[in-house]
Amino acid sequence: MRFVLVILLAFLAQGFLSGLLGDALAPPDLIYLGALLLISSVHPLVGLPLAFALGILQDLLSTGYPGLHAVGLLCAAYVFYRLTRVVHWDELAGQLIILGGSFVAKWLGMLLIGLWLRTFELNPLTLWPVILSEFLLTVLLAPFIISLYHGIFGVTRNE
Amino acid sequence: MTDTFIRRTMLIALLVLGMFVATVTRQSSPALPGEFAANVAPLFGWSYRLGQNAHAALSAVFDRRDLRAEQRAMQEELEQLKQENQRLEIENRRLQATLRVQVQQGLGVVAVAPVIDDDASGLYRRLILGMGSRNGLRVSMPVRTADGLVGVITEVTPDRAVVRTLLDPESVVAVRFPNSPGRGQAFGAPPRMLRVEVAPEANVKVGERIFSGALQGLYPAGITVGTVTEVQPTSPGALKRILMVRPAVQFSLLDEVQVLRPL
Repeated sequence: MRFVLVILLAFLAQGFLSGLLGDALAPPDLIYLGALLLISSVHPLVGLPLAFALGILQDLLSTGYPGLHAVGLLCAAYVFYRLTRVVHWDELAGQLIILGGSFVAKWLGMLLIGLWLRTFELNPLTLWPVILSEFLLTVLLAPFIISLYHGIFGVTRNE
Repeated sequence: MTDTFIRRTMLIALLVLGMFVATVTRQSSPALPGEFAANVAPLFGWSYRLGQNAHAALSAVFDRRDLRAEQRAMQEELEQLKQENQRLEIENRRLQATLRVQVQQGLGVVAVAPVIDDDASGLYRRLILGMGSRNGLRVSMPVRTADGLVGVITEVTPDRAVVRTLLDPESVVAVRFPNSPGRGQAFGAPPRMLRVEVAPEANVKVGERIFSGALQGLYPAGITVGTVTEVQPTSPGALKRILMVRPAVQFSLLDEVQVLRPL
């Protein structure tokens, strides 16, 4: 139930922010943030396929290439698990490091698929404003969303 | 198998799966996810429209604020332009008046002088000009406007000059009539009229304009002096006929005059 609710809210909030920001700024990636929140409380063997499935759903909803966001979120989830062994997810500094690392991993995964499919639209040199805006807004919102998530569901990391 | 090995295996497996899915569905993309998104759109689309409406509402608020600021700026600019226009209109009137005088007087205009004051006495009708000998003004220089004759300079200081107007009781101007031969003399009759003495035979009617007309004297010939408002009856055997003339120039409204070369 919690998973369904978080995914639903993430997509709804993502749609709202996309409409609100318009063409001015790339919206924060709340699906990515939701994925990290969900996998933070489950074992990696569950979290990795979960992130992959969430990415597939995002691909389907965003009318993009199926597999693009899936691999992106998969890579992000993997790096998330790696970094949570180094820093603590419940601390602000740890959150920033984990978010930074997994965000880079997410885009690397997406660029890998773009390279694989030879879709030259996925060029970091032309997409850097999107990446930067998305990262900054995501990092800006992340502490509030994480504390909100913990406040509502009261879950802790369970690896 | 260690946990790390399983993780890495799963990562690679899912990575390969993702690449496989991307490869397989590439030909159908964006048709396949597009179809899915079209079916699911009503579920998530309302939040996007909600965000769009919020964006539009905020834009309207900010645009209105911008419009207000722009309107204020434009109003200020409009006021400035109005003032500038007013100044230019005054300048234009002044230059046109000068030009008219220049056309009539040829190169006779020495200066365009501001009227800064009139004399304080109730008897005399004199004007103070804001220019003097430093600006080339001399005694005996005639003064006029585009409307008509004003008077003559009687005193000059380096920065000021005194003009004796036609209304001054000491002023005497030789005048002529457009439809009648002969000449007359216009004396100042304060506070606002001229008394003109002409020969009794002169056929002058009320409403006629009279002009300066001395062949030799202080004033150039042909400048409008005023309009006849009254022809007083003459007694039998009288040597003069008296006309009352309203000056062409409104002395109380003068702000600038043209000073001419002396004859």
